[in-house]
Amino acid sequence: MNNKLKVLRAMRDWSQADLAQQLDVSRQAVNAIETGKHDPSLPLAFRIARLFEMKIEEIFDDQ
Amino acid sequence: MQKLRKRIQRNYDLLVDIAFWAFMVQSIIPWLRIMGFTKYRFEGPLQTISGVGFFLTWLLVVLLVIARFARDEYAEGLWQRVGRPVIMLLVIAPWIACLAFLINFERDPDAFARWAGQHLPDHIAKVTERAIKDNHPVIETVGIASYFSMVEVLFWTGAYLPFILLGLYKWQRWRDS
Repeated sequence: MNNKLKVLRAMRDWSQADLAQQLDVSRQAVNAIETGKHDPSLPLAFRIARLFEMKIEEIFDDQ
Repeated sequence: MQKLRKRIQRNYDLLVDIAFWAFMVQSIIPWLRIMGFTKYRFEGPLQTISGVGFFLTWLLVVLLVIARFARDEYAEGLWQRVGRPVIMLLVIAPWIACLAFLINFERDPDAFARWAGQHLPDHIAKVTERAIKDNHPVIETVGIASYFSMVEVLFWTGAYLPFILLGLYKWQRWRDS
């Protein structure tokens, strides 16, 4: 699944470790989501959306 | 408690790395010996330390595998991906290994006696002796070579499977990075 996580993270000047800490996941999990190797669960997707104050479909794209 | 769980989850991969490299370091000498590059073996206190170290590493790996709370969703997903090939391996490999043992023992009848002499500790030899006298149904049915082939394979599978799982986990993680 495509996503804008890396871009959104860069806009806030956060490292993967910073974002991981805010989402309560490992840095490897953040990296895997950004590279599309792992699709987040629904609870995690909601947490990401709330963190960036955006809708899930504005961050993730299954097309 | 929640904070501790989160901290463990964030450091789960570090624990995996520690367990993996501890196992690799402890295995160097035994595997070099098995492959014939050295005759050195741990003795005395070194043997005890090596044995305790292996057991503690093995225990850590087992805990890392079964402790669901220690993993975030990505690590859990990795384990599920590791699980699929391992399940296939567990179904097929022991029988292939047993067959390999049996073929070797059938081709060379003295091979079992040599192997037994080297590998069977005294108490196992005594069990075998008693089993033969008491007409042990399993040994009677499959034969001693088959029985101990299976015992040997099950033992080594049980001892090393956690480390195989660990290696596969690290490999999957590397593929994703």
